[in-house]
Amino acid sequence: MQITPIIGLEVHVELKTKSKMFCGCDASHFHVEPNTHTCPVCLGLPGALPVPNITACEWCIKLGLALGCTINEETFFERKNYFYPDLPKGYQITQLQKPFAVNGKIAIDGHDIRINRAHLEEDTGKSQHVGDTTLLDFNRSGVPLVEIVSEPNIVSPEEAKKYLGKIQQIVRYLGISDADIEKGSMRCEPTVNLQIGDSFTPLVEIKNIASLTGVLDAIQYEVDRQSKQFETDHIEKNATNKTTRGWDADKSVTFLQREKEGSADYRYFPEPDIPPIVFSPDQIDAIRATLPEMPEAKIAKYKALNLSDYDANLLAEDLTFSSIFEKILSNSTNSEFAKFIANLLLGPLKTIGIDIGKINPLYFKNLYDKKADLSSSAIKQLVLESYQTGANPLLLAQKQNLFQVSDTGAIETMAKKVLADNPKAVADYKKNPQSIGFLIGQLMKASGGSANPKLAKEILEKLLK
Amino acid sequence: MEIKDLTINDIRLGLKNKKFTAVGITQEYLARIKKVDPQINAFITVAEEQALAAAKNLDNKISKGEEIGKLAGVPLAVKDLYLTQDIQTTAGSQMLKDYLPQYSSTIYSKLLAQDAIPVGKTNTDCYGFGVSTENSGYFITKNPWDLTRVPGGSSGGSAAAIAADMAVIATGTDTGSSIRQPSAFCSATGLKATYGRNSRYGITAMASSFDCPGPFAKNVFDLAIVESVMAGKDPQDATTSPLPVPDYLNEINNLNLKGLKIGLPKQYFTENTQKEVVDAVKQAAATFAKLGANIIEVSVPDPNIALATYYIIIPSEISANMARYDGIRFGQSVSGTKDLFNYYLETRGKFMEPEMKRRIIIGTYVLSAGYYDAYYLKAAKVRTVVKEAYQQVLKGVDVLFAPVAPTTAWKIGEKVQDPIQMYLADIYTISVNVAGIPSLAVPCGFDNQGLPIGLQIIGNFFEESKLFAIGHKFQQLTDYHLQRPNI
Amino acid sequence: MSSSTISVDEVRRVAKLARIKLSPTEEELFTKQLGPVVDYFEVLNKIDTSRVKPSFQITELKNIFREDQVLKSFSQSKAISTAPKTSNGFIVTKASIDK
Ligand SMILES: [Mg+2]
Ligand SMILES: [Zn+2]
Repeated sequence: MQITPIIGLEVHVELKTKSKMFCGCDASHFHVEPNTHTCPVCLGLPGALPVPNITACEWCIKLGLALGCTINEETFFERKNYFYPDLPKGYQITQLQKPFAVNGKIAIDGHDIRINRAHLEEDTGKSQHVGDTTLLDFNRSGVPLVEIVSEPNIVSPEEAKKYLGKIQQIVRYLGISDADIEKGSMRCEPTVNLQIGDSFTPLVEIKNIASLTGVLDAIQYEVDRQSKQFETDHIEKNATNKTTRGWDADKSVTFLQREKEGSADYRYFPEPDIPPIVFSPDQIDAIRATLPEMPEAKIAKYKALNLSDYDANLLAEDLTFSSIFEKILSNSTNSEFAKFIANLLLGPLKTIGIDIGKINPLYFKNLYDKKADLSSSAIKQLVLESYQTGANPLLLAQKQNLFQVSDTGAIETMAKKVLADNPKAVADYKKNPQSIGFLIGQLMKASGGSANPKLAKEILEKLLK
Repeated sequence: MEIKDLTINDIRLGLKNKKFTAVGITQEYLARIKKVDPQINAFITVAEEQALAAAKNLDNKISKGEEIGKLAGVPLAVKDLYLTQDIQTTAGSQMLKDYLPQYSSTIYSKLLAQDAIPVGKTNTDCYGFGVSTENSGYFITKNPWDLTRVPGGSSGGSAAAIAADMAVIATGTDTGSSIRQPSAFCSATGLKATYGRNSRYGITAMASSFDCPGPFAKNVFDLAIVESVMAGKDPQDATTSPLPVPDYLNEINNLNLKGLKIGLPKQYFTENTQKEVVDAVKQAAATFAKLGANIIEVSVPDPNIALATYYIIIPSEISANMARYDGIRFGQSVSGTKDLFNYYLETRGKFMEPEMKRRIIIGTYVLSAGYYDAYYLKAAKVRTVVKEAYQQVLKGVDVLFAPVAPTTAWKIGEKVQDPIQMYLADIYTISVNVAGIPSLAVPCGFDNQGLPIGLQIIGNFFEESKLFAIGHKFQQLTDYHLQRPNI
Repeated sequence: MSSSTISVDEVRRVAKLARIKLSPTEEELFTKQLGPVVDYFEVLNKIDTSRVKPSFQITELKNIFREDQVLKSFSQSKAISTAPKTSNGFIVTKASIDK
């Protein structure tokens, strides 16, 4: 029977604003002494009141725009009521009725994943369970989060992983989040069930996924588990049998989580402490104008320069990297030059972390213009050295004698000696002209690598006639 | 003149002219509290140490010839919902027994910055949940005019402290009546300001979209001074208004009585109102009519509508605002429960007062799945209707005169069994909170048992100046506010 | 909205949602008292609100923000000073899962 996974993703992205969502505490919390970035507001002390961070609101709109969403001109916050020790007020300030952004989409290999909404809310504190106690740290309490909810139209674990990777790329392009899953600044909760023939298996929400591959593995596990489960029990989805399962990365299994006491009834209502928020179409356009060129557009542009699909994608992967590429390119439309830069960036320069400020486009142009006189290994070496020292690569080449010898007389002298020293190779050549490679190698060696290989070949062929 | 009759300016001038010292005045007030409060129970905490330290500090300033604040040396009683970093804050609830907050409310800080002397924290119904102080988690405050009666509430402690001359000024909060009604019951003067005029930051929240912190004093002039200190935009409270605060004292004598239009809403003068109350309020209107004001009967929405709206929205907001009281980061908690779920149940079950539980349960009920539209959303829409109706009426008249409460102070224990009767005591004050507009309560008479009666002067948004001017005029023409209980 | 009483089960459900343990006396009292309070809300049905926008707040303010600036936080000792149980700078409570 035909089995189709139905996957929806709820993604939380922590914004890297300087201060928290509703108070002036420092928003950083990774490896920070516990409870040192707290105040009455984020500790939920009596009498404390929230005042929204304007940058977080603008960034949520920016992200909404980048996800192709419609921006609600008028929005407001609401309270979501539930009890948990890391939720100090006993309610989370979030959005239900009027999120900042609705109805977007992300294309994954030509398939549109529809986005239901992107709304702004506050993070909880961190709890750490030790024995029968919980240790609470409220440094993360009140850090701004954007929650991006997809429609359940993701059809495979691979697509889910790509979708998540795409969101990660977009928020990093926008510079609004590190979106680091391992550090928890990006979190993902898939909801999975299967269509088997005309039947649907019960919904399962998966929690505690802490890596990009975890997303893939957990969903794949769940797909397999549900199809086996259905074979034995034939239980179909209904309004009350949704369950929550945790992902155990060590054992690579999902496990049923104990239901929270009492049914979830969040009693949402509009947050009376925060006046509504209205962004005019002009203000939204002004935010739109700050959007950087997004990866899709860059990839298309690079492919128009005749770069391969693979190279174009790699270059566009992150904004810093593609900015460096474009800085060196300096609006040139020469596709040879573009390939030349791409090879260097994706080759020798890929392995070291490069700083755009230290890149001198002129040096790359110089190298490109002289590339006929330099071996490819010399070019690689020069580009690295030039980056590290800031020196002009052509001067370095001169100093190190890296320019290839194109003096026919000098090469001919060396070639004659190579032929005299290698009678067996000469004999081989007579039988098989393809074996000239060995002789070229010997000649290059004799020249200390400085001979122009093309010229060396021509001269050898002439002498061997 | 006795020290207990001094006004804000008397004290300030006396200090400047070295007629007395701040420590001297403070000691006299502390002595009066010691003598009188055991009968009244207005204070949960008497802040002797903090008061004397503040007074000493002020005397130092004076001796060095430094500038002194607008409230220099003025004994201040603070409702115990206001967080005070130097004095324990209980909110009238066992949940916060011995709680010493990490920060102070904006208003308290502003008052101290003007050199007021904090003599103590006053009793209140827990978190403001009540109209009589009978819902305090500590004790019931007695009405200084009749110790067998309630002082009103929830700011009953503050009103009683003013009436019994234990402080010159006090703070309160008015969510449905809690400044005006105790003012009326104790013969104090109190202001429920326009919502958003005074900061709520650092005051335990009852119902966020209703709570209005405000002042008590012995007369309107002093009240205007205190309000001029309290009022204004607070960057920590997003619902405070950025509108500039007028110079209330400059405007307090700018009242043109000729042609002043006073509306009497007919819905406030029904047979459900004690006759002496109706008479006293009408008499107050007549006082102005004699000076050329026009008295006009007007119609406002049925107060029962406002009351129902109020008792849907406020418990909803309360149910969320009370969720933070879980004994984890502050407050009392139980130990030895088998798990977290039972920890919550037992901590909240044990330390919450019954009225706190009652209101949380109503609020949780009306917000729970399936009821939001029928109750909360409906009430929020009716709120618009009530607000617009008051705006409309106030286009035709300058102010409304109305009784603060349908009756004078009742006997302690008389209404505790019936929450609806208790809620109905707010019937004439609640519309103002639903509409968000300001209202001034001033003493306007006594019933035949000698119990005080209060007049409400209701104005449009941010028209506190007009209310002060009318109230001040009234107190120049009458002496109800100067009467003192025998205590 | 026309039911005139609320059952004791309803009161128990709501109390659990609000995390409040009620004594049997309280359960009985609240069950008795809530019905009339909820009935009193019926008066609102007299008002036609079909064309009215709700007032979730009473001010007409909008767009009240703070700039993204870091302000001073509490010291750790101050932050946890009011907590009944602490350990090495953490606030301590019961674990959610009983063992
Ligand atoms: Mg969320
Ligand atoms: Zn904070």
